[in-house]
Amino acid sequence: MLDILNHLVYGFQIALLPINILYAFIGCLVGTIIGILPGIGPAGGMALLIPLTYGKEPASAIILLAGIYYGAMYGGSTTSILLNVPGEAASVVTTLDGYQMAKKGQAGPALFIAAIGSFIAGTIGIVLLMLIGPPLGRFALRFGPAESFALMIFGLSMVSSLAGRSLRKGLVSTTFGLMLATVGSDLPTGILRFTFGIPKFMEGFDIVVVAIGLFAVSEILTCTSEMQTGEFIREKVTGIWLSMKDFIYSLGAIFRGTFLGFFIGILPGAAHVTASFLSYTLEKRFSKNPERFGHGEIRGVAAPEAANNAAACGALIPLLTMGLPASAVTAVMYGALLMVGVRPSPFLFQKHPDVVWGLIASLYFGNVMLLILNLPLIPLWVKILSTPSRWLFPIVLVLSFVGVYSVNRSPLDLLTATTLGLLGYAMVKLDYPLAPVILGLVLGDLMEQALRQTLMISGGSLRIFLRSPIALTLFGLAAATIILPKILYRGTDKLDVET
Amino acid sequence: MKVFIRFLFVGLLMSIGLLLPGSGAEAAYPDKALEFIAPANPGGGWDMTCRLSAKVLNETGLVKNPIAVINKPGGFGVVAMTDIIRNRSKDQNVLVAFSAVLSTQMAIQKNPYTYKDITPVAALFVDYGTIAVRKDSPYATMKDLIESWKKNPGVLTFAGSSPPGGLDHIRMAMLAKAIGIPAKNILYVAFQSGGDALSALMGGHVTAFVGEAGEIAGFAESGAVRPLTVLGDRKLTGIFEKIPLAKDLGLDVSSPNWRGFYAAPGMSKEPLRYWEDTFGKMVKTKEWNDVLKKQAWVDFLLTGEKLRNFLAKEISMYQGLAKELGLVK
Amino acid sequence: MGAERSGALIILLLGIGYLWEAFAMQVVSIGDPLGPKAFPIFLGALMSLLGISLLIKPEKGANARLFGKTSLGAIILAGILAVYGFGIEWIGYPIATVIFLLVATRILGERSWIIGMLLSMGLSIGVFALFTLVLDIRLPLGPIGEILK
Repeated sequence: MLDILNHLVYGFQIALLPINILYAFIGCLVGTIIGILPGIGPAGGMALLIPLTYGKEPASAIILLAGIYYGAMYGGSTTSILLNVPGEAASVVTTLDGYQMAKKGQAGPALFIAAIGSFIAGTIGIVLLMLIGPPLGRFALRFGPAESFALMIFGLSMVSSLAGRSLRKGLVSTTFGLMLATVGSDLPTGILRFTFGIPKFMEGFDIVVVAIGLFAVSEILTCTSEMQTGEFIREKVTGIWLSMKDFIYSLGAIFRGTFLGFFIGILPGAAHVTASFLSYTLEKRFSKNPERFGHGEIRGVAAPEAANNAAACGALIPLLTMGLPASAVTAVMYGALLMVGVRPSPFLFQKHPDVVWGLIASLYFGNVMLLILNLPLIPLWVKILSTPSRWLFPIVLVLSFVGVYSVNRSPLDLLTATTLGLLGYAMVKLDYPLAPVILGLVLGDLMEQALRQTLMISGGSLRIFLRSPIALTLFGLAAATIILPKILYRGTDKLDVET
Repeated sequence: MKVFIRFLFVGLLMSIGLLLPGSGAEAAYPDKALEFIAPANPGGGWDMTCRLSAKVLNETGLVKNPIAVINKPGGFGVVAMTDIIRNRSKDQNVLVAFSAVLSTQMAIQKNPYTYKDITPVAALFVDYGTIAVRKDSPYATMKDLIESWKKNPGVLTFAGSSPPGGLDHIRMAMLAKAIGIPAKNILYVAFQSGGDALSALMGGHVTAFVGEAGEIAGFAESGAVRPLTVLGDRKLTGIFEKIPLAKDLGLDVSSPNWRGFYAAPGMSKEPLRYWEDTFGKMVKTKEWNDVLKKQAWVDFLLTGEKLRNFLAKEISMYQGLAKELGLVK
Repeated sequence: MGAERSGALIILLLGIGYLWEAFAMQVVSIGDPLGPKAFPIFLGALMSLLGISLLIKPEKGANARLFGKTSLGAIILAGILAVYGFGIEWIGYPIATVIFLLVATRILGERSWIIGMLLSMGLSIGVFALFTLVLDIRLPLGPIGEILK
């Protein structure tokens, strides 16, 4: 314990060097901008800014990148809440209740709870990272293909909660997402599936492009048609500040989201997306008023926001303790570390204590910085909503499109987003939920791959699952997620009718 | 503040540079901003090739024009290659990273083009293949592994990061052939990246890892992973110094993953010569050699006719292997 | 046939079409017991079954109309958006964006051309500055870039 404190003091000595404070600040600021801009996302944003790290001290470079990472996770929720535009994949869940709150004039409290939730989650996440990082890193390695597959099945079992009124329609949306995931080059064999000879399709569907299309574009199309019939109403802003009552009401959700997010974040795969979906469904499942979810329930914003920020911390663990990047974002950090001459390995803590502890200290510091940076901006963001829609919507579309374009420089991405926007519009009209499409798309690839890798290792035998206690536990949880509510609410039909 | 100002300043300069190029109208090549395309996501080998050489070229002043690195992932390089061949065939200001991975993709016809459809510019360095196990693995040496593999060929699993028919799989095929195990009995498990394959090894989910020496250097140093052999022509330095080469074990297997650049099919003679010269100078700089040392890469400069001959030979060799594996008809 | 059943029919057709493609896949796979076809076949079958189920017994309470007058504005906006997407590359970011903003604000109810024009110009420049100066991302300039040369 004393040892850790000593290290932390050392870390703060590095993080609080004026030059590193400046890097942390630039990182947080640029990260927030990137998070707010739809389409770029933390991994893409970090990659774009890697050139800035050239010739810097390794510790400074990683502090800058961590600031961008964190800032982007923070900023990602802003446009989700205000405009139904998920800045990055993990904020898709935040749109479900956050945007509804904004529509009801509650954008201020929604943004506040997102910022405070992220802050609490980030802080607890770093403490956990520091205290139990190394043993957790070793635990994460036990997630091989078999365990990952079980985790994905558990993730998909959550669909039953996202489905809305009709389970069948929820399944249609999920299956559609899974189908989108199969488009492209099939990793285990390298053959092309469902590409129809279009080179662009070989890389598959980018989650951000799909999310922008299904959520941002379709919402604006829906509003456009409502404006013409005069149904379009945006309620007046009723309050900017978060009331104490709401804060206390959400606190439990924040803590639950934090712990769940942190532990899922450590695991390989699309951890922070899974974490935010999972925490949302858990809140809904165990809420006394599940019917409020999807209509502006503040816990539905607090929990996933806390979860995705805690997951951002958890995701650093495999990188820092084992030298293995387990997510897209940490893969970029891994590349950046290599470039500044730090070779990630299980030795990172011993060989480059300045990098590791400087990073940990800068995360504490960056969290505070982000809160200070973001809270005063909230009234400003809320004001944006009073811009007339005839100006606001075109601006949002331009920002979304330029953001998406800047990542892959492909007009086809924009065409995809438009097409999916129309599709999303039709789906909303016909009452098909949109969120399960994203969940399916995120998990589909990983799930199929994990299953096939498992069977490649076992030579085709399913008994490999029986040998893994982790996998069996997760399958059990998945079954419980589907069956339990049916038993609990038998006769009342509460979940099916009122959600 | 200084950095922030510089940050803004660089941005400003770049945009001005973009708006007002060609101040000397008939200036020699290169007279515009240059572009290196990494046909993969950030963090991988192609990305590193682009970023590190762009950094050295700009920092040493060998290339005065700013080099922008752009990622264009997809289909193991096919997306970027298609774009260059179809849409930018006359573009003189762009180079794209390529490597042995592209040769294997061409060999198994997953890439519809051949090296004749592009202008190969230079190969710069190689990263040798390696086979490694976890530290507590029962296989202390390559010999142990081979013996066990011979006895029960359907049990040992190998994790790599290329698709079947790709470089890592072909490495296994070459080994199996040298040992005398039928190619059909190789249990090769493809992962998304070297990191994922390494995770599977360290979690004990597979028997061994097949990949590049550079990918596991840090893990070998820390003792978490034990390299059994290097699939190369010459001894590596550092942690790999004591690791036997495959040919020293009586296995005639060498699979270097060289990396370099190609350009648009319509690149003219002058720019091509410029790049061949510039890369020739770059590999002699101290900065570049520091990069090589850090990355466990080995110098491997090839240009012009030599490079084209090398490519032709390599692709036909991989084609033969892919046929033996039953991956192409 | 109502919108609800039309939707179900589209789902069924999607399922069948996907299934068709899945079966048509040419596969050479080694050491991959499941292969690349199994998962898509499962998905296609599931989607088709869901389509049939929704066709036979539609959900109650939904009576949306898809192709009324209300959808016209949305469809036009989507069309312009698609053109804009390609326009960024064809005629460069500045011209494409100004035109798009001008037209889109008009569709959404902006009456004054002058305000529309000012807004479009201002915003295009603002977004351009944000991307190039702060984030160092280059956007295609199109003919404007040529003129400046």
